[in-house]
Amino acid sequence: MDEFGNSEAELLSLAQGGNLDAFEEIVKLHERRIFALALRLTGKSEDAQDAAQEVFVRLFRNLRQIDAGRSVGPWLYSVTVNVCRDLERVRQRSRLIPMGEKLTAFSDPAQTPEGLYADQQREQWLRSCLQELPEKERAALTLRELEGLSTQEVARALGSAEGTIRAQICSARIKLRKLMAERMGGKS
Amino acid sequence: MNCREWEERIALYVSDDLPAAEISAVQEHLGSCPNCTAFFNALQQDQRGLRFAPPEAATLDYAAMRGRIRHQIAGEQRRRKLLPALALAAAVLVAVVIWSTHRKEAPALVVTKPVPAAPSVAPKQPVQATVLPTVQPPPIRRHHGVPASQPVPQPNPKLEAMLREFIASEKKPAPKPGPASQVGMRIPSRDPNVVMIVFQPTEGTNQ
Repeated sequence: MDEFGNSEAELLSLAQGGNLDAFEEIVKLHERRIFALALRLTGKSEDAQDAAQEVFVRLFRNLRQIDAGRSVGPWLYSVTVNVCRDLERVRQRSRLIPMGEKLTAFSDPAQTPEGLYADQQREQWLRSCLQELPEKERAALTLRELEGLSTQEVARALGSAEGTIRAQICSARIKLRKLMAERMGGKS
Repeated sequence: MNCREWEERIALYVSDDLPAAEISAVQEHLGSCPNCTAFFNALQQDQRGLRFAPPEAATLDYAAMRGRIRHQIAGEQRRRKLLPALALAAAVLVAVVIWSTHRKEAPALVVTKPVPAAPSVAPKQPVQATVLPTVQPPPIRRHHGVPASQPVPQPNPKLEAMLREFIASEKKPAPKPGPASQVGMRIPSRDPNVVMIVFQPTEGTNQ
């Protein structure tokens, strides 16, 4: 629902008829999740912004192909994974390997400076370790955890078999844990 | 089964992807193995970290991002509206290129200008035709349905005589001696009875 009480299906129907305000409302409904997903997949804020922008432009181009009776979410997740994968290939070709960038602090005023630092450090490790995972495993694990999709939904979004996705998520968890343990120097 | 072999089951257990029949076995092992319990706790910690959106997601200027999206979409829409006009322009350009190429196939008609030797204000001179260059007409383009063995027209001697008489009548002496000039051109057609003569008058100018 947007701020005017329109459901996503209504907004999609309006947007398909050429209503740009309705399209922008759809963007507002999904922009945070798509940016967060892109950030987890790319590891860089600038890349994630580019990716999110591209995802919504593609949504506009393909509005008529989307079933108004279904949520736009799965389509957006699938396109985000593809856009980030393309972006990563371009980055790899230009040898720009994303390293942990300076993180913005959590806006929790009650947090102690030590706690804040620990959170930032952990986030930085998590981000850099995620980038070391195989592309498909990273996408599957991120969709599963960040977007809270079931294994079946992840499989549908990525166009893979459910068993394959289950194996990829399992493998990603174990690899991520080992990478994190290396970063943290044995602390866990 | 050692701890390494339990890792996969524990990871599946964290994902809620472990078959129901194996859940109790994993829970039992976790209760008795401190290493696997530490591994399980660490996996859960990673899971919590992954479930949180990265901090930038809370602080990004989404309005600016929407503005960029709007701008890009507006640009695409403009281009889409221009597309028919561009296609038409391209079609016209192609047509002009084809037409000009086709024209170049015909021989160019060259008429030399008289070389002025007299003063700039010369008396009016009659049109003088000395040598009539002959230019070959372009090849015949036969339309569909016209047989290639169409009879070729024969020259009419009477018309030829009339033409010679006309040219001779135009060859009057100039009032003042002037430079020899080539001011006319004979263009025969396919039909020998049709002759086109182009005269360029040199009426008192240097042009």
